[in-house]
Amino acid sequence: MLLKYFLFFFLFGFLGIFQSSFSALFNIMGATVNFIFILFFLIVFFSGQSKVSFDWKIVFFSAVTAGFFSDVFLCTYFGTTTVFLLIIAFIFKKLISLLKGKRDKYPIVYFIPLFILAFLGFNLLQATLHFNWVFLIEIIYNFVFAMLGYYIYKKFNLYEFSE
Amino acid sequence: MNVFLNKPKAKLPKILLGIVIFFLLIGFLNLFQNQFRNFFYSISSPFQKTLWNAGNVTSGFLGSFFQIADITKKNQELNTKNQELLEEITNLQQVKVENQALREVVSIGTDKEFKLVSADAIGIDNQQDFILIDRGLEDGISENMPVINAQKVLFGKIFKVYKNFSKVMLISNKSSVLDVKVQKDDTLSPPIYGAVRGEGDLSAILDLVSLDYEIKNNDILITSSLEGTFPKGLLVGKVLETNKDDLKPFQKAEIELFFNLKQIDKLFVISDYKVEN
Repeated sequence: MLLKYFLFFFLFGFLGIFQSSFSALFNIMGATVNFIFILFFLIVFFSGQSKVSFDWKIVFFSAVTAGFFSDVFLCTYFGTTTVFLLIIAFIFKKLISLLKGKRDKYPIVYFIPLFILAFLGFNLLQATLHFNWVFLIEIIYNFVFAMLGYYIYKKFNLYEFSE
Repeated sequence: MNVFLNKPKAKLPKILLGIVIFFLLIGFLNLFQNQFRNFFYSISSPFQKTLWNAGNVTSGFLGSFFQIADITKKNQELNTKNQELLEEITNLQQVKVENQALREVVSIGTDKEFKLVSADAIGIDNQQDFILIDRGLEDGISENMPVINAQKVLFGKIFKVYKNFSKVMLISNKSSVLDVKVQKDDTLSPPIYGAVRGEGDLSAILDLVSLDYEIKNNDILITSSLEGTFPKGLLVGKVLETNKDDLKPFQKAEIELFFNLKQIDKLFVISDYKVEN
């Protein structure tokens, strides 16, 4: 039970350090990958995958941990990103309740637009949403890694682990 | 399990308690954020340094594959530029001799070098254009000190200082504006001043250049020290494409900043710069 919390805590911690040092040097025209957001979205997306319900415990824990490891490297107040991530999770929950289980049948079909929407929403909340080429590259760049994460998450059945 | 649907009455106190703990934790972290961030960076900096160095090596290695065609073209350009510079050196050597003679006559000392504190970059926040360096209050760093590299290329200024670490606001940050001078080959022409404004995503533009002056592609931009934060003569960038519109009061230009995060060997914080009167 506690193991999953430890695992996600260390994963977010590692990704925070990784994206503020290693991966930041692989920017494309300034566009970078937000690994913390990708992992958070995967947890939210797969949370309650085999049920209709939504596991708020793990989502809340992920939002707090992901928010902490984001804010510590940013020049923002602690808690800002957590609130934004919780807003994204709340909207996401409303959206999947409208889908009424269709997400479980065709997860990839819903994953693509929902990730892009969530990414746009997150950047809108962070006031980093711009309509230019760099932002388009950033969406594609993040999307590629999100897809990779999606298959890794599925391959290792991490969604069962996170429930 | 949906905590909002099952046994709402039993869950409500737990949820409220969770919210209270969350806000207390957030309040505590923000109250002691300087100390906390410094503590966190002390733990994470060895990992960040290792990953930063690994990233530098890997990105340089991979980058060379994608840039072979570009490198060949650049090599040709550099060869041409080298010859031009050799010619310029010869001319400057003559000027130097004349200058030295003049200085002796009017008893002016040579330019005082800055007092520098060396630092290593250990982290970057690409979203907001900040970098984290491993020098802080204990090393005599304070806010607004300029940060350069060994080639006197300007990176930015100290934005936030912690005990052992500092955050540097890059000149590409959206809040960054600095006065620059357009370096011209012709020394007789009047100086052209403008402002380099950060655009985010490690980019910036040249703005507020009077329409009366002509700026060209590849013109070099250096700091002018008019606003007093940066010493004059630090390298900022070069003009890529000018945008002159007679209907607007000033002309703009796209620029390429000289700082390159992938090639940071060592950074230096200028710790003794004072505003010239």
